[in-house]
Amino acid sequence: MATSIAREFPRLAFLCHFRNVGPCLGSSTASEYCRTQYDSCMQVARYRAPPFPLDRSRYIPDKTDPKTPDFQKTLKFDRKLWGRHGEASGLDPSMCWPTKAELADLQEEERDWYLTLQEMQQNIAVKRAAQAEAKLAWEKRVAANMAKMPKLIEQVHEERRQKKEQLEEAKKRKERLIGQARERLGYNVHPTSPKFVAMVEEIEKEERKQKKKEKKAKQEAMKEAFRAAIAAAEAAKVQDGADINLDIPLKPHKTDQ
Amino acid sequence: MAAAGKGTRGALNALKNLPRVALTNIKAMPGALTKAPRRMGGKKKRKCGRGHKGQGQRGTRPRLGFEGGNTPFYLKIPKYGYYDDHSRRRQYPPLSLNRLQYLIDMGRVDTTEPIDLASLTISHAVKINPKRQHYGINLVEEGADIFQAKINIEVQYASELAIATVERNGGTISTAYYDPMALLILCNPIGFFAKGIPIPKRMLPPEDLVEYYTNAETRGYLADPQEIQKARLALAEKYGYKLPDLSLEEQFKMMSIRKDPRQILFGLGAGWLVDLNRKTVLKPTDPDLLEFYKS
Repeated sequence: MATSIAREFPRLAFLCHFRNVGPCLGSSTASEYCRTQYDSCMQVARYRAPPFPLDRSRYIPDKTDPKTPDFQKTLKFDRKLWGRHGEASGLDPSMCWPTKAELADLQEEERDWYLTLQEMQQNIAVKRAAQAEAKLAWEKRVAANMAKMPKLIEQVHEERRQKKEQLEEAKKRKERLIGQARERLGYNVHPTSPKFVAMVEEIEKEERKQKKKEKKAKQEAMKEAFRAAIAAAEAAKVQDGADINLDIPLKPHKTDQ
Repeated sequence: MAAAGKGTRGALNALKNLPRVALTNIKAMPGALTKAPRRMGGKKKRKCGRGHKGQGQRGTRPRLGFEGGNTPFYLKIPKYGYYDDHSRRRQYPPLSLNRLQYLIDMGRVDTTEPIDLASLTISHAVKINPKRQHYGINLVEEGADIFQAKINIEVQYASELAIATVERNGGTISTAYYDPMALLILCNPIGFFAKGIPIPKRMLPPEDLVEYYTNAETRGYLADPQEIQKARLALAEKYGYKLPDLSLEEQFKMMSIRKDPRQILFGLGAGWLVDLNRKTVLKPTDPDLLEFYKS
């Protein structure tokens, strides 16, 4: 289309700022465009950076002139002049590269502040290894704790059950005591009243006495049984003429009660 | 006046039948007649749109977050970690495949040459401002279904699908790191040349980016080329497409162009000085300088 306008309308040729190029590779519109226009030319917009104002003001300061500002006498300014005007500035381009002192500074900076790729990769490897180790340790700890888990859960349930039983027992005992108080006194007593407390103490005392008595009786019975056993053994010895160990202590074994 | 035909044909016929361009039938180009600058209070004389007196009129409103002397919320409850270091985080403005295809179709991006950030910024395809912690562009996968171009592109970050899409079409892609100074040069080479300083070396990526740019799966520029070839095949297998054999193609040479890890601009090495006026390049000869600028 671009060429056809230029051919048919020479007056409008100035409008045709088109560049003749082959069809754009991979352009989704290129094939269609070429088919409809029967032309290998396609429009390519000319996007360019705006022209750099190079020669607009070529000013080379006179360094011998006392009126020239100081900043125009610096190396930086000279470099800028060369960058802007190139050889036309009339300056020696070798001053654009770092001087020996500047180069030494640059090298020192590079040496002191920048790691090489290998050093960085080593650091990363160390860091990754530490991370992997920490993760492994964590996984081990979790596995060990998870193995303990069922036992701990069972323990908690057991504790809860025991606590519940104790509470129930205490409740029953209180009810029983209240019942006993009613029987003894003939009326309902409040559990905090001094009469009730005294009665409870009395009952507890009795119970303790009873317990002691029972314990003693039990011990007596055991001793008796032991003596009987020894007597039987001695009798057997007399009969058989066998030897028997008499060093067994006479004290009975402690029981849980 | 009736135009014979529709669309392009109609327009052409109209052009044919129209009278010659003359002073009588043209008008000024838009923007040719400049308006006189507006004077102070030129539109609104009384309050100039700033309301009655006070901070609003005098432009002395307190800063954002200031609560009139109270300890501000953002200092009182310093619990929100989402914005930690937000001003120093690396930013990668997105460029979608959709947009890239549009740019190629419009002829704004030349596919016969390797595409890098310099060619994208010169065509105003992306706006990169290194002073705003921009570290390059992120090629996002939006438009992966319509993308057809065959390109050799260098970006700073790319998603897996974006890589797969570019490679499926027979193109190549690489991810490369540019330090802020190198990015500044890449986005505005002319402005840099005018400083009269030789082109510096590109710095290596910081330690937290080394893994990304040495990884073949992300097509890092520091990765082993053989590993990259393996990764290309693996990705083709993963997404189920046949990887075109690049070595058989016409554009093999263009497709295999890569920058040196220390190089910033295509065709220009570190330590070179550009004469903008004569369009020539000066190279150093001092052995110390050559040693310093070598990659």
